[in-house]
Amino acid sequence: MSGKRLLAVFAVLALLVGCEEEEIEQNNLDGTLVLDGALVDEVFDGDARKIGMVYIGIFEDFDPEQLGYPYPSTGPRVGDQPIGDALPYGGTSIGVYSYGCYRALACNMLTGRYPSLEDVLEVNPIELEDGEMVSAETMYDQCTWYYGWNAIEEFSFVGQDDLDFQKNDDGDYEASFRAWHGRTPPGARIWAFADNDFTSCSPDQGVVNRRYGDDLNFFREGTNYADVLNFPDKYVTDGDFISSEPPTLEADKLDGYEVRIDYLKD
Amino acid sequence: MSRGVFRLMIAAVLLSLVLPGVAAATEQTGKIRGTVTDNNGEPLGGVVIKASSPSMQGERDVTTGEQGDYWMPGLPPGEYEVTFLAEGHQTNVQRGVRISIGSSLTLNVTLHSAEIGAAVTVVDERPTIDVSSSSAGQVVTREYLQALPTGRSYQSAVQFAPGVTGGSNPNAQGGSSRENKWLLDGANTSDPVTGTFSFNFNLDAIDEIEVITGAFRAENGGTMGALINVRTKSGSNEFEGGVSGFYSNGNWSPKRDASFTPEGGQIEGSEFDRDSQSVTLAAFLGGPLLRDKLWFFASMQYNRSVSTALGARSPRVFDGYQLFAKLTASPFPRNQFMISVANSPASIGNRTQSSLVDPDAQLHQYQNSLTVIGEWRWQITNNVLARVHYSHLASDVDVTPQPCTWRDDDRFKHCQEGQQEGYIDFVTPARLGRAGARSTQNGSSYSINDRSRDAIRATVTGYALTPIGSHEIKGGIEFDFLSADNLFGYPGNIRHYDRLRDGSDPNSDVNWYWIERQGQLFQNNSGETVFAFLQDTWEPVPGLTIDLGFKFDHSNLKNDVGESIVSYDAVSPVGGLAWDPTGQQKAKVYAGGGILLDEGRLAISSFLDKNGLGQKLYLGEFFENRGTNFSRDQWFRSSGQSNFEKLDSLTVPRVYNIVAGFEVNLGANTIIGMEGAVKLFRNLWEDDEVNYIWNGTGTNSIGVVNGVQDNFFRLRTPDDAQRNWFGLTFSLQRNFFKNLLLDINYTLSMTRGLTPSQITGALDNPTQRPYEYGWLYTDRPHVIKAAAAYKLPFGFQIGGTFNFTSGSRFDRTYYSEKGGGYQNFVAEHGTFDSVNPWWSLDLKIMYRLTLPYGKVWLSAELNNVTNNRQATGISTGVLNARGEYFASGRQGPMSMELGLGYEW
Repeated sequence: MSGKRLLAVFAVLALLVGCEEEEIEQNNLDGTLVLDGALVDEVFDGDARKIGMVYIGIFEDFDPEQLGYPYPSTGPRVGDQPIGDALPYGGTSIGVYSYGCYRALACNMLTGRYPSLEDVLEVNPIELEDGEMVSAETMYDQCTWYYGWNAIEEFSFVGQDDLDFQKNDDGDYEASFRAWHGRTPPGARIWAFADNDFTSCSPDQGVVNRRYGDDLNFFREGTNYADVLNFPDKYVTDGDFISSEPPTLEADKLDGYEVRIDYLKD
Repeated sequence: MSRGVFRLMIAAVLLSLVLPGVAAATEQTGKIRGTVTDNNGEPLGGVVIKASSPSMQGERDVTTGEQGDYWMPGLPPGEYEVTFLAEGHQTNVQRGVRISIGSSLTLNVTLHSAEIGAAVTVVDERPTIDVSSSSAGQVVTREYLQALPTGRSYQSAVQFAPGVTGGSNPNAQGGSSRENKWLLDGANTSDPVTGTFSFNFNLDAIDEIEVITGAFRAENGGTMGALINVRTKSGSNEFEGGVSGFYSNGNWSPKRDASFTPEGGQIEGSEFDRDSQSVTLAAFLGGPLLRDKLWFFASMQYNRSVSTALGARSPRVFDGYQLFAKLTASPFPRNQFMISVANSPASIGNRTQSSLVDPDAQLHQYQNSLTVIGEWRWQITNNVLARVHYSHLASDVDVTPQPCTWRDDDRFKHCQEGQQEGYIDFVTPARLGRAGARSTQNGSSYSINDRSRDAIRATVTGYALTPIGSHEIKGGIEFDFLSADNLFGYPGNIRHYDRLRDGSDPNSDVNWYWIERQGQLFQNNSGETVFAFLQDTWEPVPGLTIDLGFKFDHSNLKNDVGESIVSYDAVSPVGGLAWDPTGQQKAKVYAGGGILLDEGRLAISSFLDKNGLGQKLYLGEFFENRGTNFSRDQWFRSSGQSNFEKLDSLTVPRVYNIVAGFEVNLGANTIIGMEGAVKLFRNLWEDDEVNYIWNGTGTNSIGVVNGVQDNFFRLRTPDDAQRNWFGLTFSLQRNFFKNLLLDINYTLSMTRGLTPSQITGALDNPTQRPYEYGWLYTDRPHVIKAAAAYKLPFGFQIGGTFNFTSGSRFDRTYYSEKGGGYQNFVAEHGTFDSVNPWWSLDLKIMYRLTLPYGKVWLSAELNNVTNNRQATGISTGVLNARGEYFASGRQGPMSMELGLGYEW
C-alpha cells in the first residue's frame, strides 16, 4: 500500500473515531388532552382550577370490560389478588402535586391550576391556629422564607401565564402534553384519567420538611404514589374523569394525538 | 477489534520498523538536533558530535549526514556538554545545554576552519523555547521542587500547570478528576478502577514532572484530562545521598469561622480549626555500582500525620511509607536497561472525619501500592531507537471497621471484654446516623479491594532526511491488562439507620429503618486496553515543524460475569504545527489539536456488575411500623447492580481539542506567552435510569415500566452528556538565571456542561424537558498562579507561590448542580449563589551551609500565610437556615513546616 493510500485510509478511519448511533428505543410522544367541558361544568361548576391531576399512560391495550369502567389491559388476576400490573410503556402527567408552604396544603393542590396566590387561597382557604385566615401576602412571606425564593416567578405552584388547561371554542378544556422518553409501539393505547379527589397523593411521602415550624419536627410534604400508572384502579374513585376511547398509536407517528377524557366514574 | 483495522495498525507499526535511515526519541528523554555548517554556510557532513552529562551513562556520539544534519535522541533530562569535532575545523563545545522530558533542542553550529583540536568554547544563553512542540503543559523541574513550597507532594506540584484546578486528582481544562493519566517513568500507573493516582511518592526521588494538558501527540493518547509523567532520579557517577526530617503543625492560628454546618454563619472563636501535626523522615542514596555502566538510586520516606477535621470526634491518623529503588545499566553500547520498584503502604485510622460519627463507628483504611517497572532502550542504528517497557502495578485498598484499642483515650474505639488490641469487629451491625443523627456503633461496611495493571509498551522511532524535509517517525503499541477484586460486606450483615425524632434534640435518635443483607459479596472485574499509534514529526523547512499522528484505541472492560461493558475500537487523529519566525529559537507560534478518547476504567464496567447482595428492608421505630410502599420484607437486590441494560453501540467518550498560542523569549531567559485552548467533551459516560415514568415536571415517578419498584440502569454515552472548556492563558516565565526563578500565569476560562464525574448522574432520570447546561462548580473564570524563588547570598534561598481563584457563579436554575438534580428541577428564576474568590500565599525559606563533606540545610514553609478560610466548594441541593448554600470545603488554615537535612 502506498504512503498516500495509507494516509487516505487513515483519514477515513479518523472520521469514524468510534462514533455510532445510540439506537435507543425511546421517543417523546406529543399530544393534546381534551377534557369534556360538560364534565367540568357538572362536577366543578365550570371551575377548571379544581381539575385533579391528570395521568396519561401508554399501555399495551385497552380493556373496558374488566372493571366496569374504561381501563387499560393488565396482567392476570390471580385468585383474590388485585388485578395485575398494567405495565405502561411510558407516560406523563398534567399537573403535579405541589406543596404550598402550609401543612394544610399538603396533598391538596396542583401546579398549573392557579394564576395567583389569591386563586390558591380562594380554592384552598387556610385558617391558622389562632383563627386568622392566611392572606396572599402572608403566603408570599411564608414561601420566600421557606424555600428561599425571592420572586413570584419562583413559586412553582403559581402558573401565571402558563396554566395547563385552557377553554377552547367548543367549551372543552385543552392541555398539551409530552410523554418523555418512552416506548411507542404501534397499536398501543394512550389512556388517561383525572384524579379529582387527590386519592393518588400520599401525605406520608414526598420531600421531608425540616423548616416548617419552630419545633423543627419533620414531616413530609406529600406526593403521588409511584405506582399510579401500574395500578390505576387503586386510585380511580368516584368523581374522577376517565378516557373512554383512548387513541391508538400509529407507526412513525409521534405527535398530534388527541386524548379525550369524557367519562365520569360514579 | 475488526480484522481490517487490526491489519492497518500492524502495517503502521511495521512501517515504522522498516523505514530506512531514521533515528529516535523516547518518552522519558529529550533530544538535540540541528545542522552543522562550515564558515561558508555549506553543510558539513561527517562531523562527530559527542554529548555527555552527569545524568547519562557514558558518552553519546552521532555523526552528521551529508546535509550536515544530526539527530541525537534518548538523552536523559539534565545538563549537557555537546562537542562538535571535524577534521580541519575548530572544535566547538557547547556547555550548559539543558534537556527536559520530551524536549527537542535545536543546536545549529558553524565550525570554522582550523587545526583539529583548536577549541572554541561557547557558553551562551541557551534556547529555552522548544520550537518544535505544539503541546500545551508544563515541566516542573527539580529546581522548582526544591525552591518552592510544595508540601513535599508531587500532586501539589501538578497545580503549577495552567488550566489545572482542583485537588490531588486535578481537573485539567474542564476534565474530571478521573480523566487524567498518571505515569511513573513513562509507565501507566493510573488506578485501574478509578483512573486516579495510585501511589504517594518521595519528592527526593523525583527528577522532573511533566504535565501535558492539551494538543497531545499521538504517542500520549488515552486521556481526556492531563497526562502527568513523573520521572525519577537514576543516580550518577558520583555518590549522592541525604537524610532529612520535617515537622509540620497546623495550629498556628485560631479558627476564623466554623460554618460547615447547615446552620451556617461565620463563628468567631478562639480555638483552633484542626489539630494537625505531621512528622516526615526521608533519606536517599544514589551513585555508581560500576562507573558509566551501572547506577543505583534508592529512597525512603516515612510520614505520620494526625489531624482532626472541624468538629470531628476522632483524629485521623495516617502512617505511610514510600520506598523506591532503581537500577540503571548500560552494559552494552547502545543499550540501556532500567528496573525500578516503588512501594507505598499506608494505614489511615479514623478515616471518617465528621462531627456526626462517634469513635466506635469509625472506619479504617489500609492501602498499598507496588509498582515494578522494567525498560530496555536500544539504539539500533544512529537513526533508529527502540524501547520496550513493562510495568506491573498492584494496589490494595482495604476498608474495615476501626480496630479497637485498650488505650485510655475517648477519641479512639475501645476494645470490649475478650477483644485483643487491634481487634476488628466484623460481627456487630453498624448504627448509621442520618438527617442530623450521629453514627454510634461500629464501622458501616468493609471492602477488601485488590487491583492490578500490567502494561507492556513497545515503540520504535526513526529519523530520516528527505528532499521534502526531515521526518521523525514514531510508532508503538501498548497492551494494558486490568483486574480488580472486591470483597464487600456489612458487619453482622445488618445495617441500622437512625435519625432524630426531634430535630432540636440531638439525643432523640430512634431507628429509622434497617437493612438485612444476605452475606458478603465477591466480584472481579477485568479487561484490557490496546493503544497503538503512528506519528510523523515533519520539518519541511527549518523552523517549521508539522506533527501528524493517528491513534488506535481498543478497550474491552468487563463486568463481574465477564460480559464486555466498555468495548470499542477506534482510530482518531491528532496533529499540530509549530513555527519559529525568528529562526533562532527565540519565539514560536504553534497550534495543535485532535480527538482524545477515553479508554475507560473498571469502575464503569463494574457499575453493570450482575451480582448484588440480597437485602431486606424493615421500617424502624420512627415509622411506628406503619406500612408504606417503602417497606420491603422480601429479598431484593442492591440497586444499581441488579438491573441493567447496556446499549450495543456506545459512542466513545471523547474530547475535541484545539490549542493555539505563541511564546517569545525576551532575553535573559524570560519568556512570555499566550495560549488559547478549547476542549469539547462529548458523549461522556452516563447511567440513566430507565424504569421509572415521571410526572409532568420530572419531580416524582408515577409508574414503572418493568412492574417492579426498583432501578433499572442503562449505560449510555448520549450526545447530551457533554461539557465545554474554553481557556486563554497569559504566561511569564523566567528560569533560574541570575538567581531568579519566576513563573506567572493567568488563565481566563469558562466551562459549562455536565458536572465532571466518573459517570454523570445529571441525566439519570428522564428530564421531562431539554437538558440545560448550567455553570459548574469547577468553573473558575479567573485563575492566577505565581511562583517565584530567589537565590540570596550566603546560602539563603526564598521562594513563594501565590494562587488566586475567582469565585464561580452557581445558578440554581440548572439542576445539574443539585445533588442529582431533578428534585430541584422547577426553575427558580433569578436566584443564584456563588462561591467567593479565594487566594493563598505560601512561602519557603531555605538555608544551605556548605561543609567539607556535603551540605546541611534548613527549611521553613509557611502555608496560607494570611490564614484565609474561604469556601472552596459549596454543598449543593441543601440550604442552611438562612436559605444559603453552605461550604462543603474551605482552605486549610495556616500551617508551618520545618525541615532539617544533610546532603552530600
